[in-house]
Amino acid sequence: MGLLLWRSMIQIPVPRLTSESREMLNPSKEAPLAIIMSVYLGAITGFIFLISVFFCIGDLEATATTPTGVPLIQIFYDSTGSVGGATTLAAMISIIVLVCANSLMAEGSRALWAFARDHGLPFSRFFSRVDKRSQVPIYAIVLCTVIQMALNSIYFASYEGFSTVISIATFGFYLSYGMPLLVRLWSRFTGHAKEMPGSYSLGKWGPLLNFIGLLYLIFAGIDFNFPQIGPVTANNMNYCSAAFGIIGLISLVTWIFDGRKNFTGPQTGVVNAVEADTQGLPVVTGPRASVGGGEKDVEKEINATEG
Amino acid sequence: MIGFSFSIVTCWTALGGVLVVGIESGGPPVMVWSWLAVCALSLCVAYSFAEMCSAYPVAGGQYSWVAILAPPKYARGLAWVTGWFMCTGIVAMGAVNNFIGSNFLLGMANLNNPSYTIQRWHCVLVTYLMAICAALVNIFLSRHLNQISTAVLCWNILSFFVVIITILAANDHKQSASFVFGDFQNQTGFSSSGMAVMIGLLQSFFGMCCYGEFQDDDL
Repeated sequence: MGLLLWRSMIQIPVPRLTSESREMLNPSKEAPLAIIMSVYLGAITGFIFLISVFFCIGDLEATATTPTGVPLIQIFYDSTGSVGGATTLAAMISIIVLVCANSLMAEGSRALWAFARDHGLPFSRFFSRVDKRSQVPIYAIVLCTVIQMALNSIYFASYEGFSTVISIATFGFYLSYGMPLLVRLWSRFTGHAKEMPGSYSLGKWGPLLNFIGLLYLIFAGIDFNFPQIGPVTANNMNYCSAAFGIIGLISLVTWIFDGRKNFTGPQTGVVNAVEADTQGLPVVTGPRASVGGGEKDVEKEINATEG
Repeated sequence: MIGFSFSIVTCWTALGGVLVVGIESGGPPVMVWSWLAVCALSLCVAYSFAEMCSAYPVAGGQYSWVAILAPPKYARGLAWVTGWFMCTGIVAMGAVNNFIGSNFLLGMANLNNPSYTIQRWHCVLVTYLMAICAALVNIFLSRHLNQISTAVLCWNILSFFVVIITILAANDHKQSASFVFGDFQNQTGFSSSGMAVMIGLLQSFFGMCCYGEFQDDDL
């Protein structure tokens, strides 16, 4: 069911007890480990991959300007010496990328849908609609598709369209990562800082790690707006700053005319009765009973931000 | 759990997909060393997230944490900004993936038919096709998405080993260690080598950027 996909956004304790979620019964203990382990394992696999590829790379200039447009395919060809071998390896990766497109579409449309549900987007009421029968947020999916296609169209305008879109994606991620770190440090400074009720604590190292992380994310954020190739012309410009200018403008206009009044903030922990009802799940309206530490604080905070 | 495993194995495919950025700017040493530096710095962010996630294991990740942790007066506005950044990042990530897919498909076409020349508009049209197909799968086959991603996870791990073992075993003219770890390249068109490094970094930043996206099945 599509239900499985929306499970985490809706946050009802009941589905946690069904079979598919048993593997991670204590999210406040295991999810933090998962975040840290994914960096370590990603670092190691990425390092092995980079080293292997660079030991096997041919002439750099020729690889960078390969007629295939993909240096990795050229490296596969130079290493195996056979078109069939290189195509097979490239096809294995292509399959991953093609399936990834579906997962990223699911993630993207779900993020848009959840944000629209909180009245975060223009025309939120429209984009937060879910198809009654299939439980699929069709309008959010269409919105996600249209934005993706618009971003892909930058390649018509600029040779650097590909790296521009990489910049936009990573810039968006990094700034959204930087925000909680900034807010945490800011709260310590103003004295609003909360006791972190979780079992995993950084102790006295917390502020330092927050600070280094934030500096790094800011540095990376500035880096994404650098031009990629000199001398800079309209044809090879990095449109990242322009894209974020447009997005920022839409965001600001939406805030002034709609968000300022109607934006609810994240509705974590509060179950929308209608959604629960359409999924045949019990309606829970009070604070959540069991899962993890600190739920009650979340509840209070959400109420506070709503009020 | 799938989301977690997913982020582990996507690092190498992401690096492979955007290799062209790094090769032109700084070359192998910049990519290798910047990868290590970026990973070390990302750990600072990951440990900070781990603390927040342990305290507030809620859907929405960063977006919710900002609302919870910010001074109450500004919480709603800051959550708004974070939400917009998150939505932009994740949707644009899909667009990047469409580019990578389109590059690979057309690259294979060129490899097998060297007389075919890839044009920019070919690439854009294939990305449109990928976006539309992904939308149709999400609308009509959404119930199978989880099974598909589990299957591709195994496929991904298999591919990692097949790709690395094949190229290392088949290649009989390997580069020297000094080439991989020491020789600096600059083909960006900027005379400054600092500029080349700044651009080469982009690849590592991109490769290591999905560790915060854990909320789907982990929570």
